Amino acid sequence: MSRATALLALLIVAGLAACLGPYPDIGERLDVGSKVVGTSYVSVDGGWTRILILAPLDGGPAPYTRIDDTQPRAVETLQGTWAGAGEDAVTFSSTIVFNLPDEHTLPVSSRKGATRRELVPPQVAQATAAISGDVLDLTGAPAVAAHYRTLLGRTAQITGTDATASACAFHVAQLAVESSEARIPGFNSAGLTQYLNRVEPFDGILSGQVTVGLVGLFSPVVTTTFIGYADFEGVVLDGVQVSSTNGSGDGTLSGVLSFQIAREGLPPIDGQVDYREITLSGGNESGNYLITLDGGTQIRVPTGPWSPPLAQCLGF
Amino acid sequence: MRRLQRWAAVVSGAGVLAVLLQPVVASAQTPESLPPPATEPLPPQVKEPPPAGAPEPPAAVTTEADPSGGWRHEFSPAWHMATFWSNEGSHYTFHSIALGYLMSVKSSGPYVHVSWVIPLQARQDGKVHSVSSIYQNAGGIDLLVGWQWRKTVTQTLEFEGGPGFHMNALNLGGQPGLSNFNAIQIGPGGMTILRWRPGWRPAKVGWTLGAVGALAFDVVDPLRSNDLRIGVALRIGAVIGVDLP
Repeated sequence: MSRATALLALLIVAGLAACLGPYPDIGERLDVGSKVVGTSYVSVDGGWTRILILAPLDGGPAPYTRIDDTQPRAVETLQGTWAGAGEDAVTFSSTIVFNLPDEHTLPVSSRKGATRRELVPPQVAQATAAISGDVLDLTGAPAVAAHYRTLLGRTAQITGTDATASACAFHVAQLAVESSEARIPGFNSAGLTQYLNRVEPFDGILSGQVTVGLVGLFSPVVTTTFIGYADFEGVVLDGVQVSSTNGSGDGTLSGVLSFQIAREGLPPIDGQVDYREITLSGGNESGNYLITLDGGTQIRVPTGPWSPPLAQCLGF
Repeated sequence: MRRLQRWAAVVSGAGVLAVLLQPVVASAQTPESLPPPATEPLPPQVKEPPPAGAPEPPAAVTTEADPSGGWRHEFSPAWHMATFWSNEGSHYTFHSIALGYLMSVKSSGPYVHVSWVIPLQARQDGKVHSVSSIYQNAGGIDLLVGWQWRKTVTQTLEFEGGPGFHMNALNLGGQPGLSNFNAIQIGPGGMTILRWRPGWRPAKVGWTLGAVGALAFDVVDPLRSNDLRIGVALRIGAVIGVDLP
């Protein structure tokens, strides 16, 4: 059976129940993110984390990215340019938004999954910036406003190899994993069927690449491979995540993902996440992540609300 | 290859029909109608005229099948256009070749049109793309099912038309780096067929030629979060087929 016939059969059988989100553009590129190489800032408030990456201004507008991560697993990423607009005043012009909504209460077939939308005309916001040491205060533009600290300075708060340090390191690495998912169209939904028998690459915002591929229509196995992947300063991912489920999203997660967390003034933290104790029910993870930091022992970090909270891990 | 298989099916269907009809034809020659065995020479039979005043024998009653009845099986190559507007504000148009099988029953009865659709050109908001340049393994199924009525226009021309339920399922697999495009659009529709039935009936199977037009207004796309505002599907093509009693 050809791929087209198989996909058509799937579409017709599952069409009445499935939901792939709005129509894509004709010939739409899968990877439309922009590279942003610059300083990463972070702000954490409860279960909400905002990361801002600002490329240095060089006489004109420079690219920026803002990533909002809300637990459990909702990500919104804005990309565009920023520019100085006088003393302390800055202008953010956003051209694209990536969205991975929190749909853990919905069956997989009803989820929209990760989508993106071009902002035409660009969304322009004026903000006031105040920088003092490693602190950046942005006010006046809700899309980017926050009390930020440099990310590398905050990851330096994670020390040791005990259970708390392991959990904190994992939570920081998980920010990068979830950020990557927001830029893969259809992620966390039936829209992943478009990767059937193909492997598609997506560039990290900072560096590296993540690829996604799917085999099997009715018992899909999705393989996500990270290769030196980084969306922001401080976290680099390498390794593989494999989900094996039925059409309802029930199954298992497997694979091992390595992470390296850079810290200001300290050597980086190297560690691994082993997913073999994670089960998937309706597309939602449950069980334990097995975390091992170099020089430490294996620690079980349960799914669910992050403990300790990220704000505590990063010293906010 | 599929077309050959389809016609092979039609031909074999006609053969099966002939086999089924053979006992009926054979039973027309009953033992009573056969001459008795020639045991001794028979005197020459002389047909005597009926006696004067005897009633005339009744005229032979001929029963002719309803010319607009029976089954129609047809192959239809056609041009297929699906144009639709999304709730997100885009206008899409796909021009395709459709290879269809059309079937209908009786002078008033059900019909089915099912077509394999091969998209050739895709348009969005004024931009025109060759499907093969951005998609691979592109195809679709157009289904129209409903109720039809036939009317004999002349001795060799027949008109058929009726409303129906329409579904157009499209899948265009993206080239590497490009996203797929797929849709399942559903709505009311209808069709008309004008047939020429020349009366040429080899093996008692009538052959037809004609033209088909089908129009549908699609209003729902369950696959795409109902992003469909309105869609129009138009199919115009030729038909060639057989009509069976």
